[in-house]
Amino acid sequence: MKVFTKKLLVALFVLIIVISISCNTTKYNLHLTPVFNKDFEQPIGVDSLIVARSDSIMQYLFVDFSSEQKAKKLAKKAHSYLDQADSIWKELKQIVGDSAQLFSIDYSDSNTNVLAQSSDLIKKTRDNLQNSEKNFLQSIKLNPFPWSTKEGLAQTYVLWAKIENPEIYYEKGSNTFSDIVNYEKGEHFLFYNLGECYFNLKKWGQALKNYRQAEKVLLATTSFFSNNSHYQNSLKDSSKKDLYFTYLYSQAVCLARMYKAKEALATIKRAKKIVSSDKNRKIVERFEDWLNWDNGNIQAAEQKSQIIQLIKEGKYSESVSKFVALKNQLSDQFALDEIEWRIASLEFKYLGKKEQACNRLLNVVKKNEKISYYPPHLLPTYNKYVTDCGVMHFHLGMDYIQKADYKKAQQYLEQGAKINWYGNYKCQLELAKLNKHDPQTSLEIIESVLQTQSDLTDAERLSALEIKLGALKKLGPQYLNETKQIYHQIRELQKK
Amino acid sequence: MNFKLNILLLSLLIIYSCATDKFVKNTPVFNYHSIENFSLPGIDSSVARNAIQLSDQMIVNFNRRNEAKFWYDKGLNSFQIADSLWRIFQEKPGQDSITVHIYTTWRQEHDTVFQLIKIANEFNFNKLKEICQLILSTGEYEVNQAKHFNPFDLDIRSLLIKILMKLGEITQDTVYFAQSIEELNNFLLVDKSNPYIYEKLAECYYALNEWAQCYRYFHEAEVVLKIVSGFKYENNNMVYSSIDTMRWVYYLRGQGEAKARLYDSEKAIYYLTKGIELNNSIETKKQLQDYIDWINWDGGNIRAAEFRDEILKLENLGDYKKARSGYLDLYRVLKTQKAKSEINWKIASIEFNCLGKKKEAINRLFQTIQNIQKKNYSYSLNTVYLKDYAAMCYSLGLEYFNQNKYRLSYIYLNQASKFNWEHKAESYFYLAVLSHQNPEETILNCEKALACSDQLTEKLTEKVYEMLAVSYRRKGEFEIAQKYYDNLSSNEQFIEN
Repeated sequence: MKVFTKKLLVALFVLIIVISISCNTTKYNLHLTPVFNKDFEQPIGVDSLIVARSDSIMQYLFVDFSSEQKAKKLAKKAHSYLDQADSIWKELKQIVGDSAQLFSIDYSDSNTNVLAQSSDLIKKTRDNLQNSEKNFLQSIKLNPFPWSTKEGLAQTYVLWAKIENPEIYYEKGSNTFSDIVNYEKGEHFLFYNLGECYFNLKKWGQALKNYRQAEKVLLATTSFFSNNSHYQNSLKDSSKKDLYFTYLYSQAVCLARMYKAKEALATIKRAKKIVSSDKNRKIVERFEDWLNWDNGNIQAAEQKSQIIQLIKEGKYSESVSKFVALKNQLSDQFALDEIEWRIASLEFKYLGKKEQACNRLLNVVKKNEKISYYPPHLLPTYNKYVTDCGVMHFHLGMDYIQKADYKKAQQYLEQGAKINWYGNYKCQLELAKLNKHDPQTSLEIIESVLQTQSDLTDAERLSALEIKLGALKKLGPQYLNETKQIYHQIRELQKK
Repeated sequence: MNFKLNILLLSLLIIYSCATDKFVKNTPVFNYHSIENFSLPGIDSSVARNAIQLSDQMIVNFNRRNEAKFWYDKGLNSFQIADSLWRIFQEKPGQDSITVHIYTTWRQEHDTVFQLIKIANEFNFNKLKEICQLILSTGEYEVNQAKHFNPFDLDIRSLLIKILMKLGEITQDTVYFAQSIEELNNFLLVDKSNPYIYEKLAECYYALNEWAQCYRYFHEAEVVLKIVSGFKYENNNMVYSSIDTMRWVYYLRGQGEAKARLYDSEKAIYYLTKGIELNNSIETKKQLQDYIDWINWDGGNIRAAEFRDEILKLENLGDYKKARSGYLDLYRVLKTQKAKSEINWKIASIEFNCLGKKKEAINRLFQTIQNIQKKNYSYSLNTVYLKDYAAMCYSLGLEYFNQNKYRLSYIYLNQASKFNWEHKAESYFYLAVLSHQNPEETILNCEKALACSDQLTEKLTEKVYEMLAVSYRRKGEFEIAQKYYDNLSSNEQFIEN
């Protein structure tokens, strides 16, 4: 029994030593272990332990020269296939327009149809990508050390994902980039590209982690040369600034996707501080507004976006009911106003509920007439509500005139004339026409229009003068001189 | 009593030499006084005749002594000049003020020689030899003249021996040594109590490579030296009272060397060790110890040591192929592992540096080092072997690196980095270059290189910093990377692409 225990202990000890030796060896998760040329020359006159130790570690350091050269050739070939695929893809994008871009994100039937028109180009791209993948893989098998080869393979998968099976190829791309960043932690763009793969796979957490790492590496490596005259204040270098902006913006988008509005806003504010181009500034501001909608209720903002998409698809009733449902989730007055406005617009334009729409929008306008703290950047939105409200009332008034329901027309036009919108004089003109049997009222309305509106068109002015002429005639001879003047003005305008 | 005995011996010697014509070749033509005319009052005529006859053979008259003195002085002068000239030129080749002074004085009498000296001043060694030989031959003639006038003067004979030996030394002609031996043997007939005579005889036999005789006379010299030095008791031990220790050591050394030449290593070491025990001079002690080491190089296998010296000469002449084959032959006859190791190292050095057999060389030296390390020999591993081995590995590593044989390069550089030697840091530097695709391994090698940064040049140090900066960046350890980039930021060439 004792002997057996002793043997067992010895066996365990040997096992531990073997494991510890194998663990001590510096290893990298390269997936593909390099294949050494087995016919290598045996060293003479060296300690066999040194040879064994060197041989054991060498597979993690380099490959033989001939494999290295073959791998280089294959990688070069693979890069050329990738370049060809990329240029065909660009050509394809020009043909199919932006839908090609969308295709990579939303793999919808409509985009498939668009791409089907360019099936030949797609086939060419696919062929090139297949060759590129094949050569990159062979190259990596021969020499797994240069990360540029692996990066080429990863880029092949990313491009491929834009053509077909994005889930599969972005997954492959992310795996390959992960491999690289395991042992190449000093290049920011590798982390960014990995983040992009995860983003496209909708793995927001992993995407965010890699975008953050990209930012960290960029900042750390930029300062490496800060003591050098060439690199003083390196972040003033516009290309690096743009990269920094991109990494921050991507983080903010990820955070938004994760419904972390506060963090997203904090990140986008950092991005705003360093933004250099007007285009990017606009993007940031728009995104900031989107994030701020309903006090950062991103889920609601997303629902809103989805409903807008439904509107584009012509699903108006569904949209209205969804907007109504959405209203219950909102807490911010401005967001509620916007939804009311959107519902009113749909009701008025597509659902035939014009009176309801006018009423809904008038409520919004009236409620906000008293609000003095309307945020300056939202004032244009509010003005739009007012205008739309005026327009709706005018059109509904006109509709009732056509239907000879003058009473209702009078009401809507009067309401339209009271709203402070740019076309309220049109309502007044129509009111003046409606009230032609009451010349005094008609004359007052017309004179108010002519005095306040200096930029009336000739037709509008002619129409106003004719109404005024009619009213003056009806008021009697004491207005003869004025009538003559109006008559002359009408004649002159008619001559024009 | 001694004096009388000496006189008697001298008389016998003269009689013997006259009869055999061996001792004095140039029998002096004495100016005989007429016996008939020479008588002293109170002395029996027959006694007077005998005395006169004896004195005529033993005593040289005043005039002849003067004549002899004249030639002796000339001969001594010539010897001194040649001796000092030879010594000066041997020690310090080139013009020397003392030499010039001596020649200036001498030229008045030896104008032809002076012309030769002028040539000698142009530092031509062969001409110098000719001059010395000429001066000494002149001296030999002059001393022989002196000897002719006064054959009994031991100083004259002694000078003649000196001149002959010097001629032998300069010309390497054994005839002179043979002549010296003859003169010295004659001397011994007169005086056997002078260790100097035995010493010179031993030296002559040394020059003639007659080692048994050489040993015999050095031994005799030692015995005589001890006898003439007298004894005294000190702490109940009998010690030599006034022995010239330097001379004694010299004789012991001579005996040791002669025994060595006779391949009797045991005896040789015995005498040389005794010499070390007696000697106070560090320099001489070192010389004796070196000699013992030489004998003991292969455990007393003196023939092997001699063979090695011969091959060394070939190597110094640049005949590496023969030297290598000689070392290989020598290796077969060696007794000790230590000598075998040394010869293997020698062969490896020739093979690597001169014959282009780098793999053979590196393997040979590696096997040698391994043998020494594994078998626990009584001697320690020579660091020179290790350093040379490391240098070979490094050199081969770089060679393979340039041939794009990364694996072999890595192995040899790895091996070179395991020893403490002057290019250890560079070995690590190249290991780092080879492993640049693996940041952890690169960092490891770079840090090891920096650990012996005193071995790195400024340029290499910067390269190491650059690799460290890049590797730490690749690892994502940006603060450390920053530290190394800061070291480089002043240098334009390291600007990021």
